[in-house]
Amino acid sequence: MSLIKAPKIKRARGPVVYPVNMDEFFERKANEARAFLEKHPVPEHLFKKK
Amino acid sequence: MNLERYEIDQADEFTYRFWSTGPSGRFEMWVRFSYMGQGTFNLGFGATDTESGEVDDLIELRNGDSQKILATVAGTALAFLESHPLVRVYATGSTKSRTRLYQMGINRVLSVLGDYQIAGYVAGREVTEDMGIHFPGLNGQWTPVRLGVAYDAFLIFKR
Repeated sequence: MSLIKAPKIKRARGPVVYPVNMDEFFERKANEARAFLEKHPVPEHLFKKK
Repeated sequence: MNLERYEIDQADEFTYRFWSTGPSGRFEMWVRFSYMGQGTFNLGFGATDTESGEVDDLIELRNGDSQKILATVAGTALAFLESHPLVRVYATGSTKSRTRLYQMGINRVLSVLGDYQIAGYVAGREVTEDMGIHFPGLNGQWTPVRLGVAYDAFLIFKR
């Protein structure tokens, strides 16, 4: 059991105004990460349940 | 273990928001989990630039709250994994110093992360170019994170 707990999170109240480049920015970051993981794949044995 | 965090809002299924507050002012911070395939999401993180209105991950806020911000971002990852328990979350810093900050934060909580596992990737590098103790045997490999190793990227998932 973890001693670190996930925080309680509430839905944002009212309309959320996103930064103008929100989707483009995070998609670029995801593309960079995807390229990294394609080049350096994580071995499946790391995910095996103990 | 009690880590100080900011209060977090969930803007949509994949996006979280909180506010950094300190001597430099109040800054809107964003965390988004972007799907990359194979059950893995990228943890993207940035602050809204108050002049341009754009989100940016290279802004230096100098708000004296980097530990609290880090704990809050980590908290969003745990919350995301609670609501999506079968996925994996990939994270790396936007700069080496920020990756180092992630590393320090993980080291601080590694022993109490019971329900979660973290794997780390060590890129090949020269011994002199480093952010911590260097283990050449780990170069170019993903392994379970352990104390004292300088990693370049992390993957967190529920056990």
